[in-house]
Amino acid sequence: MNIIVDSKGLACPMPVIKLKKALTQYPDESSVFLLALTDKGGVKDIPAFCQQQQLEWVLQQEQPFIEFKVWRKHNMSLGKEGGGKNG
Amino acid sequence: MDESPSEQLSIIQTKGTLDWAYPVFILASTAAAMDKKVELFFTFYGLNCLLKDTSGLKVSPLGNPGMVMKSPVGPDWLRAVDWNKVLPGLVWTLPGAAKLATWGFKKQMLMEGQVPVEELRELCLELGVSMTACQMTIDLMGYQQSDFIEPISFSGAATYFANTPKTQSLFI
Repeated sequence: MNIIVDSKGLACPMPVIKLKKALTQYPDESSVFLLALTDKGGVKDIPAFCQQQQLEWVLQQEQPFIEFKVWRKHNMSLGKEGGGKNG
Repeated sequence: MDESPSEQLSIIQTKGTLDWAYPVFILASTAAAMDKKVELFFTFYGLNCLLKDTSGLKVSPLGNPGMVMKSPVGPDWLRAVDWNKVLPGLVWTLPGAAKLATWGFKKQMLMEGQVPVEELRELCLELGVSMTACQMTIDLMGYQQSDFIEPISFSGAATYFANTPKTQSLFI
């Protein structure tokens, strides 16, 4: 299931917090989070957060806004993307 | 507690102005979102950060030379001016200067996508950040426990040190 997390227009720390809240709200391993943000620091912060939280991520775009696709490492169906594991 | 220091964050907040309240709540909420155990200890003027009534959280360029003070409104050339650099410090002693600076600071923060400090504080609590108000300074400054937001705890330095990791950060 794709979950849109829109934090466009919000500054640090809101994108990370919104992503965390979404992760808590959708604990299902098959959940895929599409995080949209405009906070430039997020380009580094979101990957740092994902790494620390054992999440996989792909930076989908930087313009006109930054978009990350984030999913849990156990989600095998997406394993090949973003250098993730596939079994 | 077996948790390693890297999984914990502890900050001692002794300052009671808006520009000191934000960084602590930003760091605390982020650390909590990253599953760190966060303990904040508020003492002396830092108690201001925990009051239900946040009108005491102000910011002033007076004695605060690092503060960048730009107009959040007006044409671009006007908004580019850092008034804390171009005006003599004496100006900030005038009546209403702190009010104006606080208004400008809040407006600028909201325009930059920052949430109001009360909201950020609430988010911290929601994310499980523990906040403790120093009982000694509450008594010293004549506050009542009912003046503070909930849920927070009230205790002294020994309780705080007993509950927190080896690492403490004093926000200076």
